[in-house]
Amino acid sequence: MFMSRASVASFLLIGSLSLVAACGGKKPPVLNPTPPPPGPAAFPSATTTRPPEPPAPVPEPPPIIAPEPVVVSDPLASMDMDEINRQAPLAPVFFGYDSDTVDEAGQTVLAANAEILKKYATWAITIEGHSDERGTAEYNLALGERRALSAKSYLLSLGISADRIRTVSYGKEFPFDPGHDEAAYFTNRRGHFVVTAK
Amino acid sequence: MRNALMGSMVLMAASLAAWSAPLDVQQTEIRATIDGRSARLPRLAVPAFSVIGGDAELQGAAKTMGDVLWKDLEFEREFQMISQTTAATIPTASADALPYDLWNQAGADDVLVGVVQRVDAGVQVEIRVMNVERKVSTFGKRYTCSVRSIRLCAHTVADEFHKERFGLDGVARTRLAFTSDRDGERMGGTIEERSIKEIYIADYDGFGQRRVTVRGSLNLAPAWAPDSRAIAYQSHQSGFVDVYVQKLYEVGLTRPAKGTDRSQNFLPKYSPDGTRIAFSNSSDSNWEVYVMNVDGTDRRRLTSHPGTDSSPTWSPNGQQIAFTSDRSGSNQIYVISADGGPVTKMTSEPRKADRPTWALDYIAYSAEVPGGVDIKKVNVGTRQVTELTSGPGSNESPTISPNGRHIAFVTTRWGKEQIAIMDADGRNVRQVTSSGNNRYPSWSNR
Repeated sequence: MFMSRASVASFLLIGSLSLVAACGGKKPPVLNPTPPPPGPAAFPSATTTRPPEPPAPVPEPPPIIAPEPVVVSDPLASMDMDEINRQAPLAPVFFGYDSDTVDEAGQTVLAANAEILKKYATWAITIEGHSDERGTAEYNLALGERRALSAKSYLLSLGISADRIRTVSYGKEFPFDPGHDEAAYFTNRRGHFVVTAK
Repeated sequence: MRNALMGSMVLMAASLAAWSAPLDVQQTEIRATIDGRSARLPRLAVPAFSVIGGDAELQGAAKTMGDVLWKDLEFEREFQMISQTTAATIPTASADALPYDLWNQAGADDVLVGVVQRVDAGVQVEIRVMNVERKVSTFGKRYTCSVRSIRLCAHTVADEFHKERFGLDGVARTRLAFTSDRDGERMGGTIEERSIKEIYIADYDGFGQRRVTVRGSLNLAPAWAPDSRAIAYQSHQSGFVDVYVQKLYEVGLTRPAKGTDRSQNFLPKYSPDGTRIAFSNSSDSNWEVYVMNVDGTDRRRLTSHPGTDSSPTWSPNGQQIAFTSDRSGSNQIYVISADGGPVTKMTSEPRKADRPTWALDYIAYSAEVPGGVDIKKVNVGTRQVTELTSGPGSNESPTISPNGRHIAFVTTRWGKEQIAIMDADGRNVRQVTSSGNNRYPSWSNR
């Protein structure tokens, strides 16, 4: 499945956060007690003697405390907006040629984006509608606008409030890939998410 | 029968005369004019202008004047121009002492003699057009110009001569507006590397390209006001798309359609009388065509169809509006009265038609074709469709000159997107821009 660099980066970030969470956390200090001294002599004919005083306990070694991992529980919350958008936590939704329909893959992406938007409930976003270079500039302005609104509609149906979402179309004016092949066309046919307030 | 006899006699006489003519003149050549006539065009020579007084600046101005005037006169295809190379072989002379036999040998029917000299008020240019056969002046005028605007001087002469000789409204003083990213300035408010696109204007021949907006954003689809003193355009500068009207010679920027992020406005076009603007509005993804006064009052919706209705343009008499609609399943061109009412379908493109522009009796538009986009025109009365481009590259966004004889458009045939102009029959494609990516041309009225 095609993934942009931005979504790979966000996957890695989320993945590494999980890993740290699994093996970090507070643990009690580890003490290494000295083993007990041996008991009375093993020879049965030995006269009974007063068992030797147990040796003085060895002073406790200083506790070894495993270094606590420095986990900021929510890195996104402390970033500024440009940094957030560079992390691209909200993945773009891609569209078929000449289409503004959110397909299955798009629904999955938007569902994930909706979860993030619910988690960061103060975020406001703009969905930019983009198209590939085929067709007239004017037609693609309209198509981009329909794509952005289509993505917004789906998010609304998942419970995101409309006043958090703005839409704007850039038509074919700002391609993400300037190439002229199918791969470039695919990546340019998108609803692109930008966090505009947090 | 009689006409054919006359015709062949004319041909014979002409071909006899051809024996003595230099190679670059075909005496019998019948040319197709822009408006479709087949004619033996009058052959006009515009030799280099003479200068009274010797300063270098004046000589430079005289040369520019002659060059620009020659090109302006060639542009409308009502004359067959004698080449400057041929003209240079004939000794310079005053209008009263032309070597008519030499000019006759060169094949000229008329010779435009220009004389330039300094006067108190600026630069005086005297134009006299001498008919070679009758040895008389058929056009004579004196202009007071300036070195700084010598090109405008030449353009004025061309327009006035065309008007007097043929009743033709030339376009030599008209201008083009378009969008360009040539400054390469980065658009703010985004982490993406995006170049702003600002509105530029230029003389119709491409001279003097200069920026007229400083909005730091995406500014597209400029449309000239008919008096050329303002430009309406579509801009993202407020974070959503809205129509802006910018005056060119005084301070004034307005937003008459009063868009919001929920109700965005696109693709403005002035009415021919300059009092109203047609545009597209999108609310909740429903695109409709609207008309309003230039100040935003009396806003009316023209279309009411769930499909996408967009890209309006006015008929030359301002009574109708052509626009793009996908109501039949794919984008086609429709026409509606400027007061609203029933629509008439103008095109049946196999794929899509878009961005109509209307002059005289035809509507030019962008047609999606296999491999890209090309420009076609449809006759409003007969509905006959003519291809104006068929590659190379993609060709779209036509805008027609006010006299209906030329079309500016966007083409990718030279690599990037550039503005080009062609005649209304598709001939004589000329490159206008060469720097950056340039789109959305609009041809001024004057």
